[in-house]
Amino acid sequence: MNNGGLYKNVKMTLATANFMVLVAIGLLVFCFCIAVVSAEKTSAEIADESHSIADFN
Amino acid sequence: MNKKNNKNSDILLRMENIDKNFPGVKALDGVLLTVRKGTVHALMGENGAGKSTLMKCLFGVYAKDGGKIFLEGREVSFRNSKEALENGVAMVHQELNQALKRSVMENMWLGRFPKVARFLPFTSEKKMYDETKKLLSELHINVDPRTVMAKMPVSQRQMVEIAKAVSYDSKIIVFDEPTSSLTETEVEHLFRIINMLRDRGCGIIYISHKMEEILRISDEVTVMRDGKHIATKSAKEITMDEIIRLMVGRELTNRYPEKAHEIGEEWLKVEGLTAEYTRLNDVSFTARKGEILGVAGLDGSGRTELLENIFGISARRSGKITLDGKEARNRNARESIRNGFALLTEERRATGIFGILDILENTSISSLDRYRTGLFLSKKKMRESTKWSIEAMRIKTPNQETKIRSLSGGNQQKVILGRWLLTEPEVLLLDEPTRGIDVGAKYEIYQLILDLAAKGKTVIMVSSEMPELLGVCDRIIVMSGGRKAGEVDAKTATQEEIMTLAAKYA
Amino acid sequence: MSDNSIMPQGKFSAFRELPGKDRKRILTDALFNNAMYIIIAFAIIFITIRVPAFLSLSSVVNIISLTASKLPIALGIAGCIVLTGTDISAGRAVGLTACVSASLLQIAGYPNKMFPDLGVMPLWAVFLIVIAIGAVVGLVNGFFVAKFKLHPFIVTLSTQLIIFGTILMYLMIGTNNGQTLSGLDESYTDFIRGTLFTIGGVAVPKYILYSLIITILMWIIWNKTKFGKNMFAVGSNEEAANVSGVNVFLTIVSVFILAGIMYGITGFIEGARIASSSASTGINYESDAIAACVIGGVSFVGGTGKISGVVIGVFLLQIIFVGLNFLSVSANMLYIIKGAIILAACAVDMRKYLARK
Repeated sequence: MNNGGLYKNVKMTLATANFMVLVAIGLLVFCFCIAVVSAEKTSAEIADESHSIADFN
Repeated sequence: MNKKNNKNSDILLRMENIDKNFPGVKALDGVLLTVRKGTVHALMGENGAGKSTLMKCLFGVYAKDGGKIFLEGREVSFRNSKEALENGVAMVHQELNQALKRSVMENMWLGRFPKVARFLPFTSEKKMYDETKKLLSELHINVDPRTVMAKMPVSQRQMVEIAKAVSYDSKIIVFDEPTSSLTETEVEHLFRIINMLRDRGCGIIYISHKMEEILRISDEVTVMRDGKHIATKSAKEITMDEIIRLMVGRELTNRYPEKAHEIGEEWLKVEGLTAEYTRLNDVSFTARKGEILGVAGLDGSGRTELLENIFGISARRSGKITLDGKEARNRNARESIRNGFALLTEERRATGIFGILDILENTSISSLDRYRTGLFLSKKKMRESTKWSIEAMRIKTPNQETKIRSLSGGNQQKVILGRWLLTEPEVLLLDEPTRGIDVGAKYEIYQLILDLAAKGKTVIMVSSEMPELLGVCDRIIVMSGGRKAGEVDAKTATQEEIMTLAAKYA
Repeated sequence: MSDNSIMPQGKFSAFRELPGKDRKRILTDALFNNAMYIIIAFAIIFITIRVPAFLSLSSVVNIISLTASKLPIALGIAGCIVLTGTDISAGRAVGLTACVSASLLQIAGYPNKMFPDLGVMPLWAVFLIVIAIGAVVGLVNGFFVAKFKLHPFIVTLSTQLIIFGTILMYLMIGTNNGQTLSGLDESYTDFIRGTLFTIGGVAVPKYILYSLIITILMWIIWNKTKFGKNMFAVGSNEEAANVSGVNVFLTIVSVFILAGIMYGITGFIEGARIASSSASTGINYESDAIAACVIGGVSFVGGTGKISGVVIGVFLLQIIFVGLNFLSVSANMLYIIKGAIILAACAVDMRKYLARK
């Protein structure tokens, strides 16, 4: 039979495979966006905090 | 039969003016195929003639570029094989796509498991078993639906594949090289099934390279060449020679080349070969220099086991191999190669080719030591040897960097043969060297085998095609039940003689 | 029947001549197969726009340095993947060899020195010792896979734990008592982290050179030796390789031993680069390495892969991580992204394989 190492017994249509790639990439982009947004929030919070600390002084 | 009056309602499938283009090549050019109800229509042509492309267009695997397809008078255009199946067009593939670790019944009902009740999502194992059993008995296939596929021989798996296609209530069933792994008895069984389907009114498209079978089983024969429809004739009116001529486009006076080699002294001696884990039992024979020795026998009679044992990739319990007077222990493949042996395995896809690698790598793998300059391999030397192989074997390929899996079966086989010749062997063990290869390429391989014999090599050839053995070999040993049943001279033996011997210990 | 896979070998003019459906197919194939590169390219552009300092000279040198440090382990694992296997003991192997290196190369009079009576060992001796350790790990892995036919995942999972236990026990030896190993002798730190040359005021560490040499060596091994050819053959079709006369057992064991040696080299470099080796050194290094390999085209299908691909894969991965750092993304989030990357890279890899069928 075809040799495919780890994928030897995988039966999947190309459409499903494409869909899988889209889902995985989508997940990745989603995580990236969350990462960026949460990073901004944190730096915004830090900016806020330093602001309020500055007020105290 | 009032076929003439009901001519049009008689037609089950009509493929008209089918065109299919690929970059740089017109794979199908105005092809015509008409299949009538209750008939077997053979589709013949060399590899590359367009048979599989045509079928792929029918099944929707390829989108045709021109032409129309009519199923029972209605125009259809399937977008994928699932749609084709649901509309009554099924195919029994040459390379079985089966879930080997699962059982027969699971394979049969893959994707449409019978449910316990219509609205419940649970599979009914009992229903699956019963339905499967019913189907199998209808077709007189004696297999337990619960058997795991991997445990059955290839021939039985093929029977299951056929049953599966039938179970879809298909009107058109395409058989692609269905008998390549079947024994004579199984072929009879297959023909009985095909006759049953024919009586039911199905239209069967039968693709095969085996001439005798085609003429036996089909009603009509269509020959294709270079993507074009060449001729369609009634099977009763056409002869084998004519088919070959139409397929090849020229006269092929002989199916087998002239034998002109001389046979020398006794060179290889095999004594009392018995295997550890297979049926092979106490086989002894001798072979001479420049001799082509055939190995005949039924499926499971031990032919492949014999070759594997001589080559050392199968555990040996006892026996002695002598080459040119010296013992060759052949304990593993490497030692066998050093001793001058070569083995062309039965299933090139599984154990022969390195699919993902190119021709250069596939050719040089067994002879790497010869390409060393200092510590490293010389690409120049490898290319030279590959060039030699491509020329000597007449392999059709654009260049050495082509991936081997994109070559036709015949060319793949030639690459492997070239690989072995680069190891300069004295004994070539060939297991079904022309399986699944078209007539033209077969002839070329026979010629190569005869050339090898003429150069003084000893060739031992296993084949399930008796005409091939009788046409190419000098002598034939017949295996039966793991033992050597007898030996015949190829010039004088008959197929019946060989069959009788093959059944001796079966 | 033969398959009629007639695809152009990539000439632009031939592309133009193609019918619409085939054109579309080639484009979508190209899009999907290079999805990872495309995504990463976008990410890099995005990050550079946000934080221009990302592509400053010092940042780039930093990225290249990180790539160099993570390259040997990836090159080692790549071999295992070509064989359709994997090696999840890699990270711990790096940890063990880093600890051993550090412990043998501490400053002579260091208060917390593990081996107080040991002076400072010659570098080459320590190097040979850790290479040997790596080779032994590889030997064990390879033997169980090749001789007993156990799946590489299970074998390396087991050795991973064994090595971890070994590290823990090792760190208790002498006067160390489980502490982090630091206080390294200058000969060691200078050899690894010393400046090779400066470019525009930024120092380029020496280990970049070593990594380069290793990469070239691996390229030669993969492409110019019988062993390399055998490796690809076994990865592509083990049975066919056996029939063709390849010593499958030796090939598999050698690949794992070579990988082990690579881990040892990585550990030797890390010991000085991090300068504080502990039981947690090397943890999860293999996930980065495997991700890099898959991104770079070393497919789990087996029998295929290029050294250049591994380098690109490691490089791109490092760019992402450094970039995310520049965006002040929290370290916790980084794990999530890493996992998503591996998933996406494998999805693309499998699709590539299925598209060929």
